[in-house]
Amino acid sequence: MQTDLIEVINPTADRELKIGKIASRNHGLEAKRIGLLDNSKPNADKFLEYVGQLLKQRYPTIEILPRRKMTRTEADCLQELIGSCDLVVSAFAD
Amino acid sequence: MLAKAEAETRGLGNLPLVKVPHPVGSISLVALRALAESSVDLIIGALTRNNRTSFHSEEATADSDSALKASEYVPSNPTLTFKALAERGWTDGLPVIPPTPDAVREMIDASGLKGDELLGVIPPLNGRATVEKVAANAVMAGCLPAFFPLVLSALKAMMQPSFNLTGIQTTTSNVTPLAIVNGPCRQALNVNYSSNVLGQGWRANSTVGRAIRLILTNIGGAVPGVYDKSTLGQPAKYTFCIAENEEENPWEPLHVERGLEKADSAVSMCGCTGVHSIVDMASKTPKGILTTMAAAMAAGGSSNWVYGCECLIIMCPEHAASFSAAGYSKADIRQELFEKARLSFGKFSEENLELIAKRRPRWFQAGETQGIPIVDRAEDIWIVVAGGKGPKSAFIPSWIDVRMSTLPIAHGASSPVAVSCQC
Repeated sequence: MQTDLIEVINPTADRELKIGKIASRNHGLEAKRIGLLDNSKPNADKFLEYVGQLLKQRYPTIEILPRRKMTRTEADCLQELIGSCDLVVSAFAD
Repeated sequence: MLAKAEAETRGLGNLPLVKVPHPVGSISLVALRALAESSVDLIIGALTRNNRTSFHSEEATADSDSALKASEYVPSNPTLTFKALAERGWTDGLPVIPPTPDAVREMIDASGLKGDELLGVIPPLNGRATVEKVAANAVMAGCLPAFFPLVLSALKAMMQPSFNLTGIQTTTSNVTPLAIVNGPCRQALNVNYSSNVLGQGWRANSTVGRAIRLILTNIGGAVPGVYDKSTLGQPAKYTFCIAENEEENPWEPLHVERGLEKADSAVSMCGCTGVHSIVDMASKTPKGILTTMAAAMAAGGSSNWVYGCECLIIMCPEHAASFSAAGYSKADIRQELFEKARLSFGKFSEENLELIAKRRPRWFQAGETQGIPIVDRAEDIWIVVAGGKGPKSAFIPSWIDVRMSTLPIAHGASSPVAVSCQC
């Protein structure tokens, strides 16, 4: 019965949708500068080092650029990556 | 989930992600190499082909948002009301006050703001924190309307970039926000700053801290086990709000140290990864108490050792009085704790030393022989005086990149209306 019901405001919220555009991936890796961004978590650097070696084996013309961040990806880090790399593989989480 | 949240926060929800099976950090180099070999094709795919491995599309997000109802009808029987709200995932598992339109309106009115005013967006899901949504959560937490300006200021303080709320909301750490209240609103709202200050029993402390948690979960979307990936969590994630015992603080109160006037009401938010009790009922001198405090701080295992982040001492009035009587300033205490609260290299595993050397390289330079300090700078040790009688203080480590964030309580909390709302 309607009298047995109460109205409650929904405490969850709409999301603010930020719609960014990611770069096209419709290309090969030949001669690309590939940044490997280590998040300083254990083994992240070594994992990316292996990934870099494997990529280099398959695409000898690529240039591997190891990078490291301590915690969050700050704006200056992003700008440096944009300026020096064509593509970036970033390690996340633990 | 952290990668997904970070990408979405930057508006890149369809960024290609390659999921590398957990664990990574603790495995051997041979196993790590095998993991890299099994991942490299996916990584090449993510680098060279469009629309790969995205978690979900923008369209799906828009669809789910359009389905959000502004309000719902639930049974009025208290047991069934709680059941209905819990089933919707809106609670922390404990009973809540139903956020009826009248109750939410009363909460909004206490702020002097409009219900549809947008305060900001809360990570990880960029939930739109309108005054009405925040008010609904404050009602559910059991807040009095007079508490609402304090809740709003706490939320705004957490939204400062230096607070690293995205990290707090999604990490495997047990970090949770701690609200520290200063100024006249402590009396006006009856916020406990004396005996059992970190514990139960005061409506303002209990419900303001709880409102903060409900806001972070319901508006920010940090649902435990989904986006909130804390391995263990901690009891303080239900609620954690205290006030400073300014009356027994021999030094300037925290909010004054943070740049506000003593007559201001304010809230300071900091990160808390646990409460470590410091009992010292024997020492007769500040040197003795400092020795005990430094030993408590120098317990291994906290994030501070890896990141050198801030930390907090909750100093009981009796310890504070001992320091003050001997002429110690807060700066003196900080400096001594900075020098004493260290762990020698031998207290860390080789793997941890390697990790810490990356993040805090200065303590590994030639000539640094005193071990690794709990923080990188003495001023990163915050001192707050709180609690009742007894020689019991506490140490609270913080977490990565979380800087204490202080804001004045903008409106009403010390007004006569608020004074009449003692619980």
